[in-house]
Amino acid sequence: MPVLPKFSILTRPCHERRGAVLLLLTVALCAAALLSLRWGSQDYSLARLLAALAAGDREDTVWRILVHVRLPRTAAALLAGAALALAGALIQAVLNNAMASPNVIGVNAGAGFSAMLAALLFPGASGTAALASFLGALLTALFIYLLAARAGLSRTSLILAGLAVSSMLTAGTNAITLLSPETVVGASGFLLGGFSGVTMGAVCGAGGYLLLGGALALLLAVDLNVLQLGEESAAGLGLHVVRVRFLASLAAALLAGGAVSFCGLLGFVGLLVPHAARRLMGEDNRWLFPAAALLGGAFVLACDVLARVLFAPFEVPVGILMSLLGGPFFLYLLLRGKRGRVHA
Amino acid sequence: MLEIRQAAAGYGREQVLRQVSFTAPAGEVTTLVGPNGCGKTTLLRAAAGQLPLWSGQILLEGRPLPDYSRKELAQAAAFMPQVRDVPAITVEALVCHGRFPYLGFSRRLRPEDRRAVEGAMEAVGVAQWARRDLRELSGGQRQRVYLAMALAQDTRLILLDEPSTYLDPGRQFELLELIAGLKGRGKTVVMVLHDLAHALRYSGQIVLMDGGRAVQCGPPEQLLSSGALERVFGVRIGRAGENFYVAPAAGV
Repeated sequence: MPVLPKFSILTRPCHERRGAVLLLLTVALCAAALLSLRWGSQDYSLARLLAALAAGDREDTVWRILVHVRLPRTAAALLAGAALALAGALIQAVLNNAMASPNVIGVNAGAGFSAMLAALLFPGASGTAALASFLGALLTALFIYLLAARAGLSRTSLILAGLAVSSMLTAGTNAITLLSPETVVGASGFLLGGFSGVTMGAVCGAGGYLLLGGALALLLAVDLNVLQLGEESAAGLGLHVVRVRFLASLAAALLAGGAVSFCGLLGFVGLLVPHAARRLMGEDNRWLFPAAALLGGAFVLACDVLARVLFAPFEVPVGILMSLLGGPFFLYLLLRGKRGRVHA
Repeated sequence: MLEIRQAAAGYGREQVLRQVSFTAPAGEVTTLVGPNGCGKTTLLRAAAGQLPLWSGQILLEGRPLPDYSRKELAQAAAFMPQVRDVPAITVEALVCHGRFPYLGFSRRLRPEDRRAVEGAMEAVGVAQWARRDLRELSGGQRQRVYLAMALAQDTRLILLDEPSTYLDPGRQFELLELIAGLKGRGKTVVMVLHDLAHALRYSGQIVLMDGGRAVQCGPPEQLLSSGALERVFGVRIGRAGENFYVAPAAGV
């Protein structure tokens, strides 16, 4: 019988290959970012891009495309992917529900509605988009969590409740778009989710929220590991269960809200990527969280590049592409018969 | 060690415990027995600080439970609930969670935590499965791993809710022998058991509960000779050497 080579990443047990997987994911993320910088309606070699950047000639078309289009877009896709994937991993851990993710339980929709409302009420005020979408995300996350805790909803009912909340909030967003089309933050793109026309200012405005959310997630990793043992065991080990759940929801809202404020209602990243990352990394959140963030960034970057080049010169909003991939995966989770537990 | 004074508690408006009082002496195994729904698990949860009392008091090492912080309580009493999801986790990682009450802000294990984890795994004989996934183990093996986690928690009191339920008879005895052996490590054990024969054989003290009250409390011999066990459960209890057996009451 042939012996599998010892160094193969896939044959090693999970805990021994984690460092290597993290490294690979980092490489994949960098590669995707480079692809995103050079591919688009115009294809530039990396040398050409570097030269333009070094020259710093503001009249140069290449420089302008790179600085005003490609860089903001690449940064936005990377950060949104990482943030939404991490938010998904957090929400799945808090609810112990494999089907939960920021878009499924309505957190994205809450952020989107709130951002849209803020744009209507305070047009032009700087920083409102990110703040409003964070608050919208937080309120929706807490509402869903209370619903799960108080009404004792089963895992599947919780998802249904989330979908109902999500469609109400999306209806609100739609109403604002229709009634007052001039308010809008790039309306149709916002609802579908995408990165065309994103500015560095919008990304930077959300940067603080993403940073805070990411840091909080890493701090909570071990506590959320303990929570996996079940509420009673965790409490018996001295874990403040309610506080950890609240802080993890807060982190997820910071991440999802921040991302939604500049990329719109991007679906299914937060569902797909944590599952893929769990396959690669196992359940330990100290490793799962960074892996989900890296993989999320790489995945959204790759999808965005595809969205740009697939039907060039036309561009598909990346949100459409993701729903095409994510929808079937969601159905698969629903039908798999594990009753939707993350840890069955 | 653990002193329950006139404890009353329940869920919502429904009262489950009614003025329960008893003391679990240090270094002994105290077993709670009683018919289904008599409040054994509720009492254990209250003793673990997970259910606030309506009235009365629970003292752990002379100090009322509400005076303990979460961390202090977790360093003084380990609680093994009955119903648990089986997480996808290695044996070693699970036992490491037993050190959670001792970790600082960074949540990193120190060398003494590692030593405590290794010692606990050796003590209940699960060290050889350290790298195995918990889901791959049998029910009996899993219970031993959870016991190792409770030992790693390094508490003087260990609360166990029906530790031997769902195990085959051989594994039940193995686990109970392990638990009885904890006395030698200076542990005080308070557990809920369903099996009367096991309770009689492995306890230093039995608390018989019925309808939310502690009906009688004492060494196994005393409960047996008073006939209270037979009356409450509606059975006959026989004895063969060190062992006991339970038979239907005459006329059933």
